[in-house]
Amino acid sequence: MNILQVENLTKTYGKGEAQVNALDEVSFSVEKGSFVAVVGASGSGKSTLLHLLGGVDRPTSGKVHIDGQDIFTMNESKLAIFRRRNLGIVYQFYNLIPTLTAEENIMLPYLLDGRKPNGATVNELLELIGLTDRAKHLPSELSGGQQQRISIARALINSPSVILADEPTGNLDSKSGKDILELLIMANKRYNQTLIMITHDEKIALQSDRIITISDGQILLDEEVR
Amino acid sequence: MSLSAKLALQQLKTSHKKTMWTLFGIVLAVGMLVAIGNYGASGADTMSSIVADIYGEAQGEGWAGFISTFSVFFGVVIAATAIIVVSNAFRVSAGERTKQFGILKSVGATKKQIRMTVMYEGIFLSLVGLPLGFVAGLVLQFLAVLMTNQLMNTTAHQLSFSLYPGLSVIAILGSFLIIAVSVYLPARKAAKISAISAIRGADELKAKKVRPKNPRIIGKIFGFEGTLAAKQLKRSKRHFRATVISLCISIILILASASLRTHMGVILDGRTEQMGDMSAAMQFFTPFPDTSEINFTSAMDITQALREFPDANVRLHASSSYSLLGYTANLAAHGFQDIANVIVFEPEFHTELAQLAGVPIDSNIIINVELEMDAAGNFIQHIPFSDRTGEIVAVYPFEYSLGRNNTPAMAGIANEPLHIEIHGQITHLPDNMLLLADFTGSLIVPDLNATHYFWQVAATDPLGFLEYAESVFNQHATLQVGEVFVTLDVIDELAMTVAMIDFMSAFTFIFSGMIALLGLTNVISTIAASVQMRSKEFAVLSSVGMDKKGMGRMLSLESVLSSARALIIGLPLGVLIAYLIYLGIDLLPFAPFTIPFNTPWELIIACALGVFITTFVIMKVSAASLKKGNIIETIRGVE
Repeated sequence: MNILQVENLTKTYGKGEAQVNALDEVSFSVEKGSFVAVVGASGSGKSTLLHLLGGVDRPTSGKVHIDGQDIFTMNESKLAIFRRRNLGIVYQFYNLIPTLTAEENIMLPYLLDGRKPNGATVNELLELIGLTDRAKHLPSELSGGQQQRISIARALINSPSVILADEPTGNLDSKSGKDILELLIMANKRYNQTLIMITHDEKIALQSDRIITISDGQILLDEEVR
Repeated sequence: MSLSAKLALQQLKTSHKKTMWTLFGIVLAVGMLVAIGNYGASGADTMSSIVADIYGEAQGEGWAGFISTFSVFFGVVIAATAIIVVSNAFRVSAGERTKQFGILKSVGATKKQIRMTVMYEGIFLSLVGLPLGFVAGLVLQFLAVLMTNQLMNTTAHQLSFSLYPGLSVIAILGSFLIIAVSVYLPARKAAKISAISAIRGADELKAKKVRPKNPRIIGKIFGFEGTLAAKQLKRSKRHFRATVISLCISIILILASASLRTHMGVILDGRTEQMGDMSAAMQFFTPFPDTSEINFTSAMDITQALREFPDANVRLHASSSYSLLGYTANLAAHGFQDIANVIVFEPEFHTELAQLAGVPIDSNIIINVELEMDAAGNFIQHIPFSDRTGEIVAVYPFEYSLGRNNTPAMAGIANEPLHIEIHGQITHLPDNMLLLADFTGSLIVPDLNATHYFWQVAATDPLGFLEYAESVFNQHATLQVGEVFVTLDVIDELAMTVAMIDFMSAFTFIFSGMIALLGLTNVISTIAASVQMRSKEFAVLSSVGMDKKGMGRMLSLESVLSSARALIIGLPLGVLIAYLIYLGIDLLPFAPFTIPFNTPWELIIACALGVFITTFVIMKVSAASLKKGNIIETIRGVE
């Protein structure tokens, strides 16, 4: 079953001669539970693709279906609500709310929904990322690797259909990077969650099920790794 | 508590220093509105009752209206400054969190949730700020009343501290509205931030999108640090605009209130000098001079009787005003210059004037002199027009009718003019006739059916004299419908004028000071926030080798450049408004002489120094708090 379907996705910036096609008629689909690595040189359009998949940016043309829903037909509020219930996003620069504790940052998608998550779920996640004793700390009191683990827990809390990760290890030392990657892969396997990750690192890409190579806004290669 | 509320609360706690300044601004704004409402109202009550005692209810009400209008004007200036200051504080606070809002959006926050995060900040601050502001208002009002009475201590009149519940409620509701508007605008803007720009971490880069041109001159004079400082000011024009506006408002108000006080004071001094030894006065007015019991002959009989009072020197004159425009002109169209004052004096005095003009005793004489006060406070006499001897002036009598409560009012202008031939002119006022200054430009005739009669009195016992005068008048005449007779204690009247001027200048002085203080909170929070927001930039500069000295120079230049802008706009505007106020005072009807404009050089220099020192100190203090931070941590952007 396809959890994600992308049709003729195009994003252009600027007008006239200065027009740049960041994404040019990109189409592909992703099966539920798979791990897809998106690789490409910087400026190739992979980040634009991820932003569009996450619904934080709107395309010039084309469609994105997640879990059967055409996300760009939704208005901004609906899309925001869809995002907090169905997507998990992990960025290179952790992007935590500095005034909230680690635990609160993890619960953020729930809190935005005006709900309180099951305490057991939060504890399980804290245990999973190995930060149970840091639950009440503020982001500024945590190391980079720890902050990134918090942001992964935040992406996992609502059991999203799709996790989107934009170079999640790009800003970390190799040990922390390895931990983060293991965490994401484990979530992918244990909870059968779909993982789409942008990476520069070939070794990381090789651990995925499928590598999509993007160049000049188009898919250059789309190969099954295993 | 909702997430938005929680985030707002956390934000307030985290940046507690800025929160305190914003809260201070709100408390001050609310307090000032409460204070000006109550102070203005009690001022209007007190002043109008003083005036009413001397001039009657109608005059008193006029003054109450004037003071109320004045208070409303100040209230509007306070409200406008408050909106600038408070909304700037919230804009800076929201601007700092652009990235945070982007993150929230990317994990699924709606526009409304983002907006509410900022709105809750305003709500929490209002919950604390409004009650605190009310209390502060009472304290401010108390201090204002105290200061006013201190400034008015030359007079017997004192302002009282009283609370007007209705006005206080209006002030608080108004403050709430001001805060709501001030918060809603930045909140709406914050909600529009796109998630993507925040995720890219592009908020800082985006600000630089408008690439400031290289300010070459500044670069040449002050070096690279100067270039950086000028670029920074251009980049964050918006933040500094509020600073410049608040500084300008403060400068303008200070110069304006000083102008008011100085020039009113000069007028008052001149007036006191003119009054000379006059200690009491009486005035009779009839709208119908043709049928009145009082004419100049009976008025002279009264004068004779008055002179029997011991140690009393009495002088009589009577006058009528005429239209120079003619009966075709509408009443309201008449300005000062379109009205001729025609006066009759007692025969002995008229003879003196005729001799002075060098004409026969029964001649019509014009007082062709204009009075001006020089910078040293001495009167200078001018001959404003050419020799008017031989001219025949056509003047049209004003007609009166009785209005409501039988109060007389000008109703029209007679069809037939009176022709007055000018036989001679006085171009120099005799020293012992300084009161003639009141009649500059007037026509003196030997006989007249006048509407106004004046007795000016120098007496050792003015109150006793006035009592006696009233009985003398009642023996000689019975007042007819529409006629008015009043006695005037000149010393009391002067004291009242002093009280009035003191009150008005205390009013502008105190509230201008408060508005300046409100503006100052904005200057502090803007500069502090600007320095804080650029901590990363400073760290980068220092990592590539800018030393402490260079950094200090850059910040000093920034403060100098932003102060300079405020001064370039504020000082000329302030002097202009001071000049306009001077013009207004110079044209006042009770000032029959012109006064020189007093350029407030000391204040201009004080304002300039004050602005430079203020911005410089704030900049230094904010920069000092930065140095504690570690370069590496800042560059890594650990939040």
